[in-house]
Amino acid sequence: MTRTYIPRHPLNDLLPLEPGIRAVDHLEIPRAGYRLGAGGDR
Amino acid sequence: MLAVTGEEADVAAGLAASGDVVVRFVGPGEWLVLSQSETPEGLHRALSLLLAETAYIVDQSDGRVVFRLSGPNVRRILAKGIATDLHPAAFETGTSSNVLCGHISVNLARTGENEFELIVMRSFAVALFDDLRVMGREFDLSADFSTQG
Repeated sequence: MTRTYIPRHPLNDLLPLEPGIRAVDHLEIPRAGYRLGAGGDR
Repeated sequence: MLAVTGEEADVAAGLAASGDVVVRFVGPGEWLVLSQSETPEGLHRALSLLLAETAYIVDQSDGRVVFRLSGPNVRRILAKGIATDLHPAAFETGTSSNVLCGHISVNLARTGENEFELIVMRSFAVALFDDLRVMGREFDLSADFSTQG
């Protein structure tokens, strides 16, 4: 099975690519499935 | 992954024995299979070799987004949108279920005492992100991409 197109992560434009300041309660979004630098991802 | 009718028990047993994957219950005979180490293609290939005769396997990697919520107030945050009892006695670590978060359908899993993962369809990811930020505002919830990929 070959994937010819890897879409952008839908939160790309809402979150900085670098980690920010982490509070005690934290929401973390893994990029699994949306590989950085591949296909349409930035 | 959807088990062929009548093969649910065999597929469940095969998934339980398939090593470095996390299995999330979606419904009877249906699961989401996650891997931190395997590529989508590699995971699809491995599961096909193991279960191709007993289950339908479809890559959902680009169609779903994972949110990992952690912290001492996580249950209070989720209680603002999810009408499910998330006390550890009722929803223990390793449990997963399809629930509504506000108006959005998510697969919710408890991955630790104070850690949950929400898997949502891609097109609802931004709306769920906004909702979670609002739900967590009282507790100064922070958010960023995972550094682990």
